[in-house]
Amino acid sequence: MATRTEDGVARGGSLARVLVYGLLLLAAAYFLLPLYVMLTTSFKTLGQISGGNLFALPAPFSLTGWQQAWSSACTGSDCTGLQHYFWNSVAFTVPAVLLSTAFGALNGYVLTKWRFKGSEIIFGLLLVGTFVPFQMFLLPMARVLGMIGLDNSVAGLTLVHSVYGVAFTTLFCRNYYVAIPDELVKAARIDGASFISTFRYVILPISTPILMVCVIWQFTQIWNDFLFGVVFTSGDAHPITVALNNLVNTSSTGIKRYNVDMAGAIITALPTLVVYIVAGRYFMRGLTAGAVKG
Amino acid sequence: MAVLNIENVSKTFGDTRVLEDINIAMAEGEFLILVGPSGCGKSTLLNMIAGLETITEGQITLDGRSVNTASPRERNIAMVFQFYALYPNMNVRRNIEFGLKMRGVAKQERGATVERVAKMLQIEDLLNRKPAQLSGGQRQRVAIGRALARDPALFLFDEPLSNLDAKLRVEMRTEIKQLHQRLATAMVYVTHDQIEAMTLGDRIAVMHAGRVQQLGTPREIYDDPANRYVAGFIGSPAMNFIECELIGEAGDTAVCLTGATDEARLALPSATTERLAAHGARRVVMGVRPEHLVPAAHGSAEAIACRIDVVEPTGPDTYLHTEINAEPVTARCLPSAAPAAGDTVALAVDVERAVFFDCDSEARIA
Repeated sequence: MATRTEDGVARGGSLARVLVYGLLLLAAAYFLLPLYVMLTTSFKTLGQISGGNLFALPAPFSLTGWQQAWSSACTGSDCTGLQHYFWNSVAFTVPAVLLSTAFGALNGYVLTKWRFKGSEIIFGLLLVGTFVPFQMFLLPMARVLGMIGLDNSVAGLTLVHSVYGVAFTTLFCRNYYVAIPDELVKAARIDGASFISTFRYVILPISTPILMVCVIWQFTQIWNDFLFGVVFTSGDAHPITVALNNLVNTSSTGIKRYNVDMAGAIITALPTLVVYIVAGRYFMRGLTAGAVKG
Repeated sequence: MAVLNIENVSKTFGDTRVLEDINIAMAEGEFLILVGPSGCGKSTLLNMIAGLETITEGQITLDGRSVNTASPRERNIAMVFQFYALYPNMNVRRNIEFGLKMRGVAKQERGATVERVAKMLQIEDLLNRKPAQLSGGQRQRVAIGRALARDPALFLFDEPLSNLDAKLRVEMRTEIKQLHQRLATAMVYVTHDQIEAMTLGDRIAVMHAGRVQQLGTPREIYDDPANRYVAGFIGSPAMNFIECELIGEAGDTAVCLTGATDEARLALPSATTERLAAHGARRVVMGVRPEHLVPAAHGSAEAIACRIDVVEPTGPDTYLHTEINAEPVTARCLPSAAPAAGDTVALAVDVERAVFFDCDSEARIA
């Protein structure tokens, strides 16, 4: 039997409710179980992993896996753990996220509030950039990086990710700014504000939601990228994703050290998780902001 | 010296000509209204005065200085927008002082200006609020405050009241008029509301299809419209247009008007007949405002018998809808003398106040 609820949506009876919650719990378990196994395994000793139950809690509780993954596990011939590569990733991810977000915001501002002849065409071309797959960039980008002397460097990766990301951040910001009334910019111009000060004082302060979307999106894309990292860098300059792959596939002793692998994987995934938790509440708000004016 | 001088100004967007040969000179302290339907180019013209749109042809001078290529910042103007356009991230105080800040005015002076403006508009207790915490009327007041802070040579208003509800609109209209009387600064005010145009303006420019149809005082526009468009646009209820035949010679011309039954002949004043004779046409459009089409005195020879279709009481007046020469017309009568729908009433035309237009060109001929 359907009853009216507070929000006016009719919902089913208790049986339907049990089914809905059951399904949701099942889905939650499906997604959370791998994380549970990763976490527990990372704190187990090798002995417990080979002898014990996959779902058992770690006993004794051991940090060896984490210590080794961070500072002493071998990635190829180099045995200093992931720490060096972690900071590599930070070194190109942070500037690339900031650069692509800043350019995206400026592009969106120009494409919506300072339209010029052909600006729609330029926006269309930028939009195409979001459809071009990673793989198509590889060869031309490798040539360009070589020509400008940025191959096999953190700076080179920063450039690659910034350029690739601008198409996405421009799309996000443009769609957000298009909903901001043009009158606001006109008022600022009448008030004597220049192109830059209008952006700085009027547009930027109301852009937080969409900037958060850009930051989350770009951070996830760039931090998790494997392909550009493995193609454009080698050895010392590898990002953490490539190093994790090497760590997992280097088994000098012939024994799979699952605790180290799991800890390494969690270390690699942690920064994106943190960004989601910190900026996540803006994420949904920003994605839907364009739809509802105001 | 004219504060604002618009000379032979035209504007084209791509292949579309939106403004054609605009000429307006504005005196010191004048309140000028640009009125017209949507798409007539009135907002475009205002934006061109503000420097937000480029000028395709012609010249605009402010205080005797050509501003064709000047940015909005370099023009001594302030503007109030239809949707308020308050900066949502700033509180009222910072909204008002933003223009001063952008022009490098010292903080102390800015503070004094904000206090003065806030006092004038009675928004002192709102200074620390954000725009989202204000009602529509308060927002528009702040927007006006932002314009006042700059103490410009010319104020521009772009349909500032069209977003407010009816009661507030009338209140704010009076306030803007008072403000103008107090400041005595020139104002250009864009509206599509002919009542706002009539009540506020020293002079009105009626715009249509990218042209100024007529520029004059409210009285001139109302009593002496330049063409049928202006006559129909200004006035509520609108002027009646009756196509009719002229009979007789110059000096003794009459029009034939048919109501419900018989044809009535109305002799026209001699000044009118001379102008009609000079024009030569035998069929013309006669324009009569509802207040000049009223129930006739008993026994009037020139009364037109009309069957009333609808009776519309508005309070002070009652309007009667009927037909003359098979065209719908509106007459006015006192509420106490109102007939019932279906009645036949003798109506009289005040021919002294009637105006005449060419059937095809719609130009005024008498």
